[in-house]
Amino acid sequence: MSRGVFVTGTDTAVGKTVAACALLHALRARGVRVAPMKPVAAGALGHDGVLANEDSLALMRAAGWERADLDDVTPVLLREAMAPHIAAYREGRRITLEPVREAFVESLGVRIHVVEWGDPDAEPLLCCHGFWDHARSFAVLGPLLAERYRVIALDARGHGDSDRADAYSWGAHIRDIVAVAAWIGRPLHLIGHSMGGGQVIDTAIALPDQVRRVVNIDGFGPPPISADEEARTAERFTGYLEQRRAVAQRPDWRPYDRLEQLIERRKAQNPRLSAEWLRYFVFHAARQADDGWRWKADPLLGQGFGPWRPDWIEHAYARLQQPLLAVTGSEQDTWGPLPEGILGPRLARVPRLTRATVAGAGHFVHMERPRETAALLRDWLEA
Amino acid sequence: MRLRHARIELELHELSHRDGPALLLLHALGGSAADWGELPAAWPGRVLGLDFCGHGGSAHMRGGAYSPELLAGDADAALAEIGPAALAGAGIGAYVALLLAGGRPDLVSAALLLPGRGLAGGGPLPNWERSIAFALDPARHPPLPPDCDPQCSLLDADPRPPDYAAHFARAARRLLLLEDDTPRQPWWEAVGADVHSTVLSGTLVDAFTALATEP
Repeated sequence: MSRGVFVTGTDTAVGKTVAACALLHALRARGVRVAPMKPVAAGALGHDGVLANEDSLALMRAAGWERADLDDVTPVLLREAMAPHIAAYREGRRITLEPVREAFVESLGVRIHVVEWGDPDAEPLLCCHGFWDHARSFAVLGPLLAERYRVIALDARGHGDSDRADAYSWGAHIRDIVAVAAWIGRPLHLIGHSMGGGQVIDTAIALPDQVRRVVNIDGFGPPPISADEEARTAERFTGYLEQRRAVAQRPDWRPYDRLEQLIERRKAQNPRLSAEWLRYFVFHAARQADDGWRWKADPLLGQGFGPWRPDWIEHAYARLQQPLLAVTGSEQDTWGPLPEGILGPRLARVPRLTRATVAGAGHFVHMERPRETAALLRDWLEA
Repeated sequence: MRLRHARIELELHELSHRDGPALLLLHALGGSAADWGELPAAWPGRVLGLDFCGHGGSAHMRGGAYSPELLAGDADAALAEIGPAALAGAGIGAYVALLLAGGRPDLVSAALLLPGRGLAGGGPLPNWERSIAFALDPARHPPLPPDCDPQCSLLDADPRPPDYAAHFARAARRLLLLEDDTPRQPWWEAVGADVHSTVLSGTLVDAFTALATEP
């Protein structure tokens, strides 16, 4: 039978390796077979022409192992001596990153991944990202609001590090947000961007007692559909059925050799994001396997069909009891904002509305102008 | 036989083997292909009964995103296997038969819409409070059989606007609606008013006979 001993310490240079080596010597003296591991090491020097970490070498020697065994001691070796997640990020390598609190919340058999910033006892603020994005789209805004709030951002099902489902629907997304709100278990504010902006409004309608205030960042739905498109409903449904049949042929995205190729593709949608921000965002939107980098987002996400029409948005808005802050950017992007002739009448249905425009931002307001957005939200939430 | 619809494994039952036009049976909410009893014997050809996802011998769907359109994808996976067929559906199966008759007019010669659980849906507009109450607290509404995924109760709550249903009726080749004395939803009324529709009253056997008879 094999048993493990986990050695940890609260800082660097407090003696984790010394203690581990002493244990290895003592166990070997009693005739026990030992296998040391320092699975992730940051900081490598050349030793006889091979990169190696000092701690890994000490563990190897204490176990009586050879140089050839070094990869088993430390499978992930990063060159620079710094916190491993930062070193990994610099090298474009994927190990689990833990810069903030994380959790999984169960919803209808799907695990919803959440990340958090701020004091866990502060007033909660739940953030819902846009289609194809993930929780870390709030990675700059979140910490800015965390001085006063417990900021929680979720990965919608099929996005980021949440599980993929067998199928997707708007209602299922809403129920996932409701499940996370139940897990938080306290009155909260909701913030949503794009798809998430529409979802937080529907969630607020469903949870009138728990949700206090709602912020929608450029998530005011698509423009109305034309009479021609409406008339083609059955024909469009044939297209949906064809898509469902084709799914079996392509279960996942094709892999890309390099992360940079994914960054290039995403850049077309986010022309105003800095290279560093874009790299961080895409790094978390993708997963590396043996054959390359793939988007985490589920290819089935785009597939759905139902009777929903954009003019139903106004029915929902009219029923929203909580105050709503409607945020748009001043710049026109592919995904928004809507022409004022459509947006204005829609928002006019909201009983308790505040509107705000962030100068210099396009559709991704909170990512492009996080400081201005944070200041705007703080003022409004505290008003 | 086992079928695959995207990630979902389905069970399709061959209920009658006679040579002749194929009939695909779509059960009501909470039901299964076993519900059809002796009826298949009255059909002059091959009869297949599908278990929708979350029902009978088919897999439950991870994440619970049940919708009539998704169930129509289940039935379309059956059509991909068996080829052109007439449809008969009860309750939710009737609404799915309408969607598929409109979405696959090249494969569906006619569809018979029968009463049963899941026929009404949740009214002409969405109601998230109701949907979420259904999803989070399945005990609040009439129970489903133990082998059925409790999330399938959402199929009692999805919005069914009459003008949406009417698009599928217009695209369908031939629809037969069997009326009983239960109150009808606006979507049913809209479908019944379409030129491709015939509203019937009488017995189930009469209705199947009408379905088997070319107009």
